[in-house]
Amino acid sequence: MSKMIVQALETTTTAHSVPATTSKGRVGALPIGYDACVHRLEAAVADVAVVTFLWTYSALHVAHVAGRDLALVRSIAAIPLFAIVVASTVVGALAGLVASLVLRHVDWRPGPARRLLWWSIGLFAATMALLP
Amino acid sequence: MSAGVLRALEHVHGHLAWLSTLALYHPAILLRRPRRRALGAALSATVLVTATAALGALVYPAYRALVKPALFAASPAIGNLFERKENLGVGAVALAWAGLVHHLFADRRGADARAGNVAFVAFAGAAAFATLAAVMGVIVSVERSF
Repeated sequence: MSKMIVQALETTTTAHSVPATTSKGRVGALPIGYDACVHRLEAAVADVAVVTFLWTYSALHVAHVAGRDLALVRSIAAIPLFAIVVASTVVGALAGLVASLVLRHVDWRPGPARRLLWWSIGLFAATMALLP
Repeated sequence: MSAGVLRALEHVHGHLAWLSTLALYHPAILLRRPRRRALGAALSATVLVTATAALGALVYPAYRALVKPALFAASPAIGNLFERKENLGVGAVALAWAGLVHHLFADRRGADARAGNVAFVAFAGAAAFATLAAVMGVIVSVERSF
């Protein structure tokens, strides 16, 4: 029975392989399997964290420009820039933590992540350009 | 800190900013190809931009007290440029770290390799933000310094 399980796992992890290039130009066949899934989850967590950071930073910056700083954010540091950076980092990290729990059980597709990040970068840039 | 030390730190910050800006273009260019590995370039660029931001944060409280009021009094437009530069610098650091983490952990091997090319987007955004921040920094420092 255990031999069958091991064989099944080996089949799962080595059934598909694609060539991969490195910065040295080497080409090798790398398996797709559990390892790749774990890697993808960690990358997804990074995506969620940075997008949340950019949106939170933009929102807190707009609030600061409008003179409506949140009391909680104001209490972090005397200098608003530092307070907004710390608050956005905490919110981004929490979002990443939640994503690591939620996406573990979801068949997550990374396709939309690239578009979402482009839009988030655009939003951040537009906010800073219009509201210094 | 004395005015001389602050001025020296400000100069180092400015030079490091341009160096890290150029360094950020390296992974951005290499990672256009999703299956390419560029760990050294990604790591060094991220470390450089983080060091630049750390140095800026070290100088910022003194700059805010001594230079910023005079900068806004002399030219509000350039004062606002300084504010934009600070925020874009923060964005560049965040995107560089996201790009590095994504490059370390993304699955570059499967059918999702193309979609997983988020590291390129992150480093391209970081390079663009860093370029804008560096140019704005030069304009601001020409106007007023320690």
